[in-house]
Amino acid sequence: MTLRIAGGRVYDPANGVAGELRDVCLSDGKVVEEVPADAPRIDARGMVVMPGGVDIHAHIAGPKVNAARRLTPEEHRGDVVERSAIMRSGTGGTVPSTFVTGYRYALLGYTTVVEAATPPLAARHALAELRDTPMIDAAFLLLMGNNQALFDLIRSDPARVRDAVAWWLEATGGYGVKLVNPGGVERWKRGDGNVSSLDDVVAGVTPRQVLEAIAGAVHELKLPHPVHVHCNNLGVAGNWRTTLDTLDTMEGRRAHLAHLQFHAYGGKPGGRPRSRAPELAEYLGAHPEFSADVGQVMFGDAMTMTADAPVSERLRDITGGKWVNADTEVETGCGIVPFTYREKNYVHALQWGIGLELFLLSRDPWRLVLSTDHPNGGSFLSYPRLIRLLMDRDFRNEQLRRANKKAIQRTVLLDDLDREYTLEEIAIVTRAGPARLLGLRDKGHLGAGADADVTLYDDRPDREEMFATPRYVIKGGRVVVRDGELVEALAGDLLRVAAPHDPDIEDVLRDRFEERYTVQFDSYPVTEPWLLEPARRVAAGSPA
Amino acid sequence: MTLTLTLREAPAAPLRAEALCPDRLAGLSRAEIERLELWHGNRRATLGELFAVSGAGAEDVRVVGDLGRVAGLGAGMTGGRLTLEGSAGPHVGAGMGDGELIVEGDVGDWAGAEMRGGRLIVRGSAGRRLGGAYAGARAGMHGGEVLVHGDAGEEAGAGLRRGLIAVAGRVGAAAGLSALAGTIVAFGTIGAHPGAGMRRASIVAMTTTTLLPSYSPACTYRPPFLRLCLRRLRALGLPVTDEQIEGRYTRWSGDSVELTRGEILILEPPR
Amino acid sequence: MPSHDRSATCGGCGLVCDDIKAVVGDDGGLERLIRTCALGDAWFSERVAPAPPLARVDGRETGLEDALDRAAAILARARMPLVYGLGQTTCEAQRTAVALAEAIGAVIDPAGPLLDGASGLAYQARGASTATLGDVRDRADVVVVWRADPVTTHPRLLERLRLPDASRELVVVDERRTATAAEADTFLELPASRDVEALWTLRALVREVPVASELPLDDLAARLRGCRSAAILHHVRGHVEALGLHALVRDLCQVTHAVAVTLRREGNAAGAEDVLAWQTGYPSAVSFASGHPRSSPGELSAAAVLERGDADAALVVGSDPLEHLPQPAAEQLRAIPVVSVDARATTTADAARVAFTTAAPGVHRPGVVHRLDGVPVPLRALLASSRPSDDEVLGAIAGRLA
Repeated sequence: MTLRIAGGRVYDPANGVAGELRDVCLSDGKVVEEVPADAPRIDARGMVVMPGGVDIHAHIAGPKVNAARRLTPEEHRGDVVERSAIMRSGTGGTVPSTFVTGYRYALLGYTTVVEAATPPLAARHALAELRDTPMIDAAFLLLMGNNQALFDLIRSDPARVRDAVAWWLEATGGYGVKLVNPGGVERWKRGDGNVSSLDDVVAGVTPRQVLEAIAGAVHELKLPHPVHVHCNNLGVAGNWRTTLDTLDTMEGRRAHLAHLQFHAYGGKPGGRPRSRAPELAEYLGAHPEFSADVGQVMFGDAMTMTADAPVSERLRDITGGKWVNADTEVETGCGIVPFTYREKNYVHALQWGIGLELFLLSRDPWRLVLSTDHPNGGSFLSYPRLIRLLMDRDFRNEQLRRANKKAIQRTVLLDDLDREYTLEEIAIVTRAGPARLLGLRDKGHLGAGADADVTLYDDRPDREEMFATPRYVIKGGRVVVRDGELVEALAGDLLRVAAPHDPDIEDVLRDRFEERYTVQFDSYPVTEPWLLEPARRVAAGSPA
Repeated sequence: MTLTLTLREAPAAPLRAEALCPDRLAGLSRAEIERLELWHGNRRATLGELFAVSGAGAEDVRVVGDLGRVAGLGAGMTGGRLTLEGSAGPHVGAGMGDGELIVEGDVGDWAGAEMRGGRLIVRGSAGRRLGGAYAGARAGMHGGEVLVHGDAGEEAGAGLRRGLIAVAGRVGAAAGLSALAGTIVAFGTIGAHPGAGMRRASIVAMTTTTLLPSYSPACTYRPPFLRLCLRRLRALGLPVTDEQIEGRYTRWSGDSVELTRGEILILEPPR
Repeated sequence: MPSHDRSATCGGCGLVCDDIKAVVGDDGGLERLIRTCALGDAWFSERVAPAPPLARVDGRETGLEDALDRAAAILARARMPLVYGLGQTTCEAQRTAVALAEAIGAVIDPAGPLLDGASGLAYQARGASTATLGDVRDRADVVVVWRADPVTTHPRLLERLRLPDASRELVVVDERRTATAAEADTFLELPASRDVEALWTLRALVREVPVASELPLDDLAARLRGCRSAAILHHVRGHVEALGLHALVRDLCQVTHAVAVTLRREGNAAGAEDVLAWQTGYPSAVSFASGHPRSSPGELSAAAVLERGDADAALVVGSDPLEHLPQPAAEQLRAIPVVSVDARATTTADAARVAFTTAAPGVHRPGVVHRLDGVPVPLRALLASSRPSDDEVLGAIAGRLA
């Protein structure tokens, strides 16, 4: 199966292509140098051609996502998707049903999505949902920052942590390692309250020790994606110091910080937050080993869902509305609170402003990439609007004027921050950058050998409209979206890591399992073919 | 001019009839009305297949027949008058914004659920969750008036945020469940645990019942607003007695496990 | 004969114990089970070698293809088919069942809400705090069993939670002294009709607001307030009761750590709601009649759909509704054409127009189920069977609709 995308303006930053008129050739699911002259073609003149979008941090599958779905029938009933000859039916809202999640990502031109927080114990659940999430290749990150069995190892046998991490990834089909408020969730589950610094002790370890041990393991394993950290003290005024402390703890090892916006606050704990985005942007710029996604908040309805259960407890007391808490033995917590960001609210407007500051002050778009931490800061459906905020200064200034004045004055957004992202930069923060940070060599670019995941947009002055309705989306060489309509539904691959481990680690872990889990050690690893296939393995050992 | 839709025969499966409200019919010719689509079980059917259409106009619409299997009649209507000459199924007048909906018979569950305005009059009895909130929603009825001449089922006015629900007959258990504000008046007996989890609303009862222990008596008095309210209900045709208008009510305040801004007013027996 | 020892998972109740050992004889038959409870023994024995033939139409054995044709014809013809059950099969089969329900424009409703009470609506109204069994076992120092009798319904629950335990307190609240109450440190006798009153009283006591109640709940409230971590294991029935219980847990979370766990009866009741929710957005009472999911608990709950006479055909998967539906609904189910897909012999299958008796997940086939606390657990295949699985039968019916 071949296809020539002819005459489009191509943005392929990974290969140094910035808006050149050229053809992109696809054959058998891959980008190739050339296809025969009589191959089928798409006339892409007047269109912008980019690799398919790559979402480095979203919450789309697994028990917490499903708990949020179940929580919000009132959102679903007004947003339904009909069954068609090619589509399953479903519902939307901030947390759409699985099929609708896949369709809507594709309709937005995204072809690869990372589920950012899976409890290992629930891997089967997350995998099953991903199997029902069509259109996208998907990977998930395993929650490892509050795992009592790992804490045990960190205390008693730190040399084995590396093998344990690799075992966990292999046992579950995971792609990378996520730390969420390391130590803090376990401490909170014990009734001792959240941690407030990296040196608070929980179960005989400190957040700093957890960070060092797990980041060290990920580093030594040479996983394609570095340790993905949701820092301690999320949302707390003054937390930017914790964020810097976390990065200092890495001692030169790579790390990716999730939703940096939520960790960029000055001020005193308990007081009004201030922006420390300029300092963090500066720090990030000077440290090439670090990267982050922004976690932009967008005004309107969102669904906060996190393994950081103590944060949800705070949000519960703010909203007084629905709240879900779900403790997972040994491994993690989970909290869910529906949330609405309002432009007139000081804190919300400040959060919104901090996200924009991070984007606009970023020196290296390859290392500060786009996310709303879907659906925490807003739905992935708001990406086109976010792109317009970055690309269209007039639009942004108009929005700034509507937002809470005190908050915006606390940012540098009014200080001649007139940067407008270029299409090339957008291509970096929405595809090339995330793919590189994830170590997905076949994603996020259009060089020969890349996956034939391509999105074509009409080059329209309203960038929100442009990015909301791609003209064509091609997944694995097949046209799946044409003129804003889904024309083919297909299943994506699971992207999982291949990281070897010493088989003896099983004996070490087995004892710790029998002691702590209520499932048998032999029940734990995912073996079901329907959950694991089709998959592509990305080998550890050769980081990008 | 009155437009009359007469059900041809008892439908073989439940019918969803959100299309049958004055707004949606406005400006349509008879042929267009007959071509309107309804869901009949899992099949599409045209209105004309199921209803005989006569008359014209959309300001005054009558639907005639045994409508017990017809759901959503008048749901979302924003004006005009809709009269149902027979008993109707669930979701009658749900989400209605304005206009008048009169049901000569009984209605099923969720009549007037989440309605925002207008008036719903039920000559017969209503099912559960009258003027209530749908699954997951915090607020039920946001405004308007619901008058029921017969009885009402459990959880009437669940999540009530604003507006008035008045029931001439019996009201089931847990009336005003988690209500936020607004008024519920029960002229017949009222079931157990009215106002469970209620924040600000008023429930008026003419007989005593099992109250939750999180309600406590505050005073016995003649609430001025209530006289106005009851006179109005009498004018609207509900059987309100002078004793009820003139009587003294004991005010129970609660729900203390929520905001404690709600009240249950219970008519004192005449001395 | 250690070589014949196999790991097994029991689907006999919501606990899905995965520490079972099955001893399989040289002839491939099941000789013995180790660590099963009485419910588990029954669960396995009903499935090992079911008596009914693979396929029956009107009670008479027929070929699989014929029965599949008949089943597909019944379901395709129906104007309001009902798909019901699902709690005793795998997530794999549940996915197929939801897809089939969508294809035929059916109402689909798992048996769980009927068997396990009304917690779903309360969850949707306010949320909940919950935990997996391991965290209940290792953290809760006060465990309250509210109107449930797990010693009877989930016989290994207390063992798995390491209860009774001198350092933790087990409290049972029920209307009579149940088998579980006999194991408890404290038994509080409370008529079911007073649940709402009791839960509101406890809420008030926990919140320290005035309350006028004669119910003797002060001690329990004090213990809950004073504990390090509380767990309420329950089987509440009514909506208002469930609202009260979840609100109580939420109130407790202001002073300590607290969770609630529904003691679901069926081995994959949680999975049925999970699968339906991820595919549609709703955990129960979903209609696909108009081409997209619409949910309306109460209106579209299986019992209501049957009682009103709306359902004109039914597909029953892994369930025996004639044994547990309310009488009027059961009578209606007898009056319409039913397709039963089950791994065991049931009253419903015997009365069905078309009945498939399939290979059993957990005995002949592997599969995934979600334990009552949502934890996915694998079922194991122990024995050979030439019968297709329920998932395959559902898929074959769906294939005939295209």
